[in-house]
Amino acid sequence: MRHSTDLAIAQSQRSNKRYNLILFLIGGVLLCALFCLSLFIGKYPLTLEKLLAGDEMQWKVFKTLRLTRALVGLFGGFALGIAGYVFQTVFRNPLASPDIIGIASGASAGAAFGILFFASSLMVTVSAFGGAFLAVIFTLLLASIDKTGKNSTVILSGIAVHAFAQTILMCLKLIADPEKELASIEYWIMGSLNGINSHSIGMNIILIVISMIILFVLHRTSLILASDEGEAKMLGLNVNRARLFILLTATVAVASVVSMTGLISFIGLVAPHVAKKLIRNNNLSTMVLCGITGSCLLEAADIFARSIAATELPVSIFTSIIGVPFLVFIIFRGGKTHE
Amino acid sequence: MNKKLLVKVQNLSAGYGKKVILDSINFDINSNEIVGLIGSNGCGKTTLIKSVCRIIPSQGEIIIEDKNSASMSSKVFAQNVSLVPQKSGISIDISVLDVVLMGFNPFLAVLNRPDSSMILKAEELLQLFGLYDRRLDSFQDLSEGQKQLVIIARSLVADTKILFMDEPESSLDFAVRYSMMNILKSEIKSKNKCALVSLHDVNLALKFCDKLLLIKDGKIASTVNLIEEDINSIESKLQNIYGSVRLLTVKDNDDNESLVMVKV
Repeated sequence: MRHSTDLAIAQSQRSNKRYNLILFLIGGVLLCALFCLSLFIGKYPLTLEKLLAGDEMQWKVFKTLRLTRALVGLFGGFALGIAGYVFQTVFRNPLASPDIIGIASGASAGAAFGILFFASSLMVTVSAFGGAFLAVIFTLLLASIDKTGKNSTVILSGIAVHAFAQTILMCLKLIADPEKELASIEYWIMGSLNGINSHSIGMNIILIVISMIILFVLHRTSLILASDEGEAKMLGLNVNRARLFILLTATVAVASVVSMTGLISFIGLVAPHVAKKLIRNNNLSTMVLCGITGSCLLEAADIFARSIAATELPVSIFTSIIGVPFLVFIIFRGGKTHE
Repeated sequence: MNKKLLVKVQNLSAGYGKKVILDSINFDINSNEIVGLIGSNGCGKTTLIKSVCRIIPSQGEIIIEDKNSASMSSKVFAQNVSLVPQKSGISIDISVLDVVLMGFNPFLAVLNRPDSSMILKAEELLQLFGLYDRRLDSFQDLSEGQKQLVIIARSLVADTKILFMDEPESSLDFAVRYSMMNILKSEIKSKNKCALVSLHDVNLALKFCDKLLLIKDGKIASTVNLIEEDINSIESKLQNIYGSVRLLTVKDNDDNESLVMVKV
């Protein structure tokens, strides 16, 4: 009896592995294709022949515009997908996203401050990063007043900080010049991969990579945090410290992305759900797939944003337009595929 | 048999806000001992388990193998003590095997993952509880009783010396309750562990425990030594908790006697 069930389980393990491998292969190929497409789509026509022939203008466009943009899509989408997964796991809430602890509103207020008081785009990036980080620190400080350290307290504190940051943003908008600064603020909030400062991208990508490595290393800890607090504590975790560290690391990743691109909605929410529908049991593969899904979504959304209309459109419109039907499709079809 | 003092609880008091739930609790647990925590609903059993696990704040001392638990980190504490909560809070899809492997977490450095010997140990326990075939399934797909068995397996897997269990039998059916307690008893006796188990099923406690702590209104009303005390003395102590009850002696097929409680 044991022998036959062993065989069945060995078979199902093998088919699981094969299934995961096929998923990663499809994801990888799709991502590569989108990345290459992103390099060659845009107002200025780039061709492989001219690039290979060493055309100076072609190379300049390639390096300063296209490559940065494609890289930000790749790393940014990956980071947003992973951060969304971590937030949903640690908060034990399928609707949790980085914004739940005030990252997006903090970054918006920070960016608005930067646009109003500093002229350079690098300073806007730094200011948005600072705003996001300050908001999260405030949220966690507020939450730490409640000594029980409940998840719900963190979420409530996040709502309070979000409201406060929105108020600051509103005040900043009131004093902004409607012709120039207000438009910049609104455009920043809508999010775009266009015109990203090439000076800031290197540092931000390094921050993203470091925080991704830390989140992957702490994957087991995140999963334990998805049980009750008492339970997690009895599994040897210093719950408050572990949660704080993981949330701050995920915040660094998200802040690095949004400080470059402005707000990009939906990826942090939709990518983990798509990945979890495809690989049901949470493990490292699920986490990697969250990242790949995020990258694909952002690259695809950005390609649409710059190719559909004569002017560049906000990328968030397309993350939702692509993300929502994809999620609906996965919910209706994917639920039964791999039990 | 060599007995070693593993848990010493002194003057333990706890409560929620200003409400006192537990008042000056004192007891000891030795190795090889299963201590049953018995009492009616709301008498403070769960609070007692949560307090000795340091999940809720309390006053008093909890000594774990000669060391005051107040000076232990969560990790060191969890290397000595494991908990079976009344209901696990795991709310995401995660494989049954991975849930059992969580039991090794206090013994693993952050960068380490469970090795093959740990996986083998977890699989053996799942086999023992009849859940080996479900090991790759999501924990969420199990029935409440099966989930409870997985959490019990998790508490046994790393061979911590001390087990605290909060109504581990609550979602199990009649037969599984007895087989679960049999597994628990053989684990405790063969590996010199000890357990504090809160139970609603008094007959289960009478059959498997060595000692009973009878809790009433947040205090230990009496302690029962099931090995040494006579049936009348045990009966009168149980009557103090449950009103008009009687104890009967029944024999199993091997002529082993055990006590059962009936309401009269």
